[in-house]
Amino acid sequence: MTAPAAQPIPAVPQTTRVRVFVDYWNFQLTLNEREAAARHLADFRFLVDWKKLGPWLAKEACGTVGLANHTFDGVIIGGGKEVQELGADLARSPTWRLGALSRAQAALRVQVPGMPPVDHRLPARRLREDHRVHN
Amino acid sequence: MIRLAWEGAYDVGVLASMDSDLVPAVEFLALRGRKIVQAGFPPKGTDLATACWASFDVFADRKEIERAGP
Repeated sequence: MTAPAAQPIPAVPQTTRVRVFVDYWNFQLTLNEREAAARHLADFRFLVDWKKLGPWLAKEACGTVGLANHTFDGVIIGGGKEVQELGADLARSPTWRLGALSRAQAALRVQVPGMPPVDHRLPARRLREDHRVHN
Repeated sequence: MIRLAWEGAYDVGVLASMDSDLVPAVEFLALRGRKIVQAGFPPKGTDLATACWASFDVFADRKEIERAGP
């Protein structure tokens, strides 16, 4: 009895896991400054779509270095109190609450210096557990 | 960024900052094989861009991330 011929194993496409880290104030203020200069204004507030930002930055970065396959694994926005409020706003958005989360939206974390990170996806009980771990 | 790299949670990190204070962290990660790409606004943040694996200009395509006003 002969062994059956080995079937070739299909190649698994290699994906690159990408995380995005945003230095909130540095990013927002520089964007404001550049936009104001482009518009010949003294000041301008550029309204960032924070839900789009993470996946878009991941895509652009991969395009820059020629990575064909990538997964966007989340964005961490670091900053102060305002950043925490931004995270809370996003968590209250209808799309968020309905659970119709894309991978892109599912992993936004907000970090405030001196405080444990807050993941706005998680229910309160899980958040407490997270805090215990980080403390 | 360092903690998640330590946990093996990503292969490539995208760092949206121009702050040169982050250069040591990027260099530390580079020595350990983590690739960091800077999303910046050149020529600002040149030190950080140089320390990173690659960098790109956010401003050129900023309309992609602009939210409509209230």
